[in-house]
Amino acid sequence: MEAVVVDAGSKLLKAGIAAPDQAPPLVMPSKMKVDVEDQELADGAVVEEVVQPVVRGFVKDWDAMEDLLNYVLYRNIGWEIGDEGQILFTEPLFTPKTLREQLVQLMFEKFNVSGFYASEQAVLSLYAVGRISGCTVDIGHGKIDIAPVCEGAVQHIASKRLEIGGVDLTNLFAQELKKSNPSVNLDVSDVERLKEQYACCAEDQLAFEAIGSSCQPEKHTLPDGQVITIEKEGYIVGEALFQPHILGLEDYGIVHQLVTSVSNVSSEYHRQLLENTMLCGGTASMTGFEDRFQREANLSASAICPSLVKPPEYMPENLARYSAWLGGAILAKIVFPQNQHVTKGEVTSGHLDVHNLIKLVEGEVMDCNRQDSSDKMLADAYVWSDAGDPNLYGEWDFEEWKKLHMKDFLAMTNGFMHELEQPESKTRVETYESFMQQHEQPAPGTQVEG
Amino acid sequence: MYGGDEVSAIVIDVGSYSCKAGYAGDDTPKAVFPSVVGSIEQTEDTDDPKPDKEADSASDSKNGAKPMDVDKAKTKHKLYVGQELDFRRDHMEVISPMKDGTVTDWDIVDNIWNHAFRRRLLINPEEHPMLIAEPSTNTAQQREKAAELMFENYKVPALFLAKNAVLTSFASGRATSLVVDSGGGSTVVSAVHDGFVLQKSVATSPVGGEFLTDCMMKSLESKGVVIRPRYSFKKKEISPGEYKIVDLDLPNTTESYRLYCMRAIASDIKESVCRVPDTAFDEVAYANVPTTSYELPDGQTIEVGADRFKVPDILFNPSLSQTIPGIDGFADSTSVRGIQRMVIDSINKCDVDIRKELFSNILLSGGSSSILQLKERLEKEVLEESPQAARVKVMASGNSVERRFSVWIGGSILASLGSFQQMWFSKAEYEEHGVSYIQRKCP
Repeated sequence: MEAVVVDAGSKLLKAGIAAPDQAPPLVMPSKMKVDVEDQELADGAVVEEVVQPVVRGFVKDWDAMEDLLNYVLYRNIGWEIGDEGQILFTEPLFTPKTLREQLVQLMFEKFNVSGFYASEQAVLSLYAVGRISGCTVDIGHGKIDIAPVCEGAVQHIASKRLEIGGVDLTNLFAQELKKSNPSVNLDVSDVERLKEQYACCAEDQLAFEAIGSSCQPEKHTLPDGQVITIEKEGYIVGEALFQPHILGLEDYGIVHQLVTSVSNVSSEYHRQLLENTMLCGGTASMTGFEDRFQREANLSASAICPSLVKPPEYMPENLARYSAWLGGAILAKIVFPQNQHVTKGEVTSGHLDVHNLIKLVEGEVMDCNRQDSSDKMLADAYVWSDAGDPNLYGEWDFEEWKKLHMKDFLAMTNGFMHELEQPESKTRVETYESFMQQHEQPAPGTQVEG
Repeated sequence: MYGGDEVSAIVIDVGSYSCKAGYAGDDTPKAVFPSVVGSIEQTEDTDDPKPDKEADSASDSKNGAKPMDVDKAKTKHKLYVGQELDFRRDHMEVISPMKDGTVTDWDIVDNIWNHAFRRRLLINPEEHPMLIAEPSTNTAQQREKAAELMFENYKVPALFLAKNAVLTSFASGRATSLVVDSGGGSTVVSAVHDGFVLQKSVATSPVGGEFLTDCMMKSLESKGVVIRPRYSFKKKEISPGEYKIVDLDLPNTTESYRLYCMRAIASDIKESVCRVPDTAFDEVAYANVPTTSYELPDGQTIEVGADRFKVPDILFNPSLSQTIPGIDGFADSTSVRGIQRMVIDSINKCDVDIRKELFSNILLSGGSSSILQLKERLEKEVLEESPQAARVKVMASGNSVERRFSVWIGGSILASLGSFQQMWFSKAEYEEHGVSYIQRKCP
């Protein structure tokens, strides 16, 4: 059975069987309404409670998440209870370990999946455009993640997460519309739709400042019949990402954040990162955003000048919106068949460090497969991150050892062979131990230099 | 005893230049940000804030009898940590919680910890045991204050304080070594034997990364190069493809912030072009050395020549810094020694029996140890002054990221060891025996 990829965003949940060259089959809002049929309220009024399982990229409401996934996996994708498949989740940067553990627990205990994998959205978005190194600027509904990725490993030290996103732009839009259309009553979902239609970016800062005078007002009719005038509010929303003080924040614009982020990575990677900059996320598909981004990028010092990457032709349109899901689909094709995911057996067999197992694909670390099952096994895995590190194997001076210790070592080994060949010999371990006590010599092989 | 189950410990190392924090068991810290913070005074009465001077006089005014003393106690400060510091704000001063490697302002350290836990790592400190790295020269009082702060403010379940040198030693897998930690604020040489720091061998020198950056900056300035801080200019496109630099006038930017931004640029120059010379630096010999070019953020290209070698050599010969105009003399110039001198002196203060092992296990760590050719030069210099029979070997991890974070990595290893779990100083023990029990638990 094919693996399922789920990308749970703050606004939209993208899910489906992993098929890398198509848009995700299921794209639905992650906001849900609570069914209040069974509740009796004192004043008889029906209260519609809206629940958001994912807030600012992180899962906050686990019950709601469970219900949502129930619908997605069993009703939509068609899993059957007892025959669940493998699932790959995407997660934002800086996901706390406890959150990941809770997700794993949910998946294996409630949903009984047969295999699980999680990966950061930044890396997946790069896979979607066919790269393993580059910079991702993921502008989502609840947050912005800026992540330089080198060879599939996110450079956490240089990455940034900004707590602004589409939802803040919507609020800004609502605010601005209220100012220019004080008599109109706007619903949040209406504003959301209007934003998607009218928000755009001016060519550059000067053009933005000139907009005020030159913009044409447009009239728009809302579903309930009210008419509103939209003039330069759309441009203000687009400008907010480049000049955050419009949102009331004391911070630099998004291009500057990217540049400072990249400069925190060691300079040998700069070129690679900058030439492969990728914009993704729903908000990045705003009209004029890419062009404006490129223009602002050209204004930075020539040593650090990002340039945007072009998506491959075989990928669907709207790649930017679903790049994390598409990348997940690509990754699912590699991880699950190669058995590098977490299986149920591993989870139930005691203390499991999910995090180190999952690092297997992303960093250059060693494989640590556990084949045995039910006994509780405590394993603390410390893996060496740089296989090419000259200090990995220490230094052992063979010549010195040969002069000082070889004779004794040979004598001891001969003694072992002699002992073990005798008819009434003890077990190997006991033989060695008795030798140790006799000769009181350090075991061979520990004469490591340095 | 804290018998934590599966909850991973957090390792936090607040250095004089940067703060590193992350989960134990990881190979690099997840959160790295500067240890200095921005501070804006919030006075209720007056409109113009009284100018707050830099770290040195700030801590002086705490002890001395300046009239500012009283005002400082009354006015509140809004602190900006980490990323927030990047944004230029009016009247924002840059202050450091440390002086000479030890903490002087615990309020700032508290803010730094808070930022690391709640904004960067996104964890709840009540659920994770903490391993804190402390300087080798930390006093008993400092440790008690740290423990108190952790248990009272953050309500951590367990705590351990480990010395920097021991952690570095751990990270390289050795129980006995001489650790040369060349960090931002200072260089500390300490001998570690069987996991314990030999206090009498600890030597410090104020020559660290920041001092070298200052030397580089002043040296370039004396040659007429103007370093424009990033916030002070803007690039404008006057025609397609052609750009012009426009200076921005921002009169309310404090001097300390301006210096901070200039230092960031000078630091980058230092990191890209500097190399330790093979032999002691000689003004005459290096006068005609080929220059390397470097592009500043505002587009200017500068040529760096002899300074490339002069600045790193200050580590070996601190008096060289006096030849750079603008650098003040050291407070106690006789005691400031070159790094090779400190190594020899440190080893000589230890027992004769372990000296041989120390000579052959000299470890380099800290950000400034990533200067090219430092390892080779130090080996050569120590070899010259060491006794004949000694075999001198200087070790440094090949990866510069590992060198910079070796203290943190050591902490990560230590906190994830099974045998370490019984050594935590737990909250129950704190409540039972009081904060001074920490001296016994964390040697």
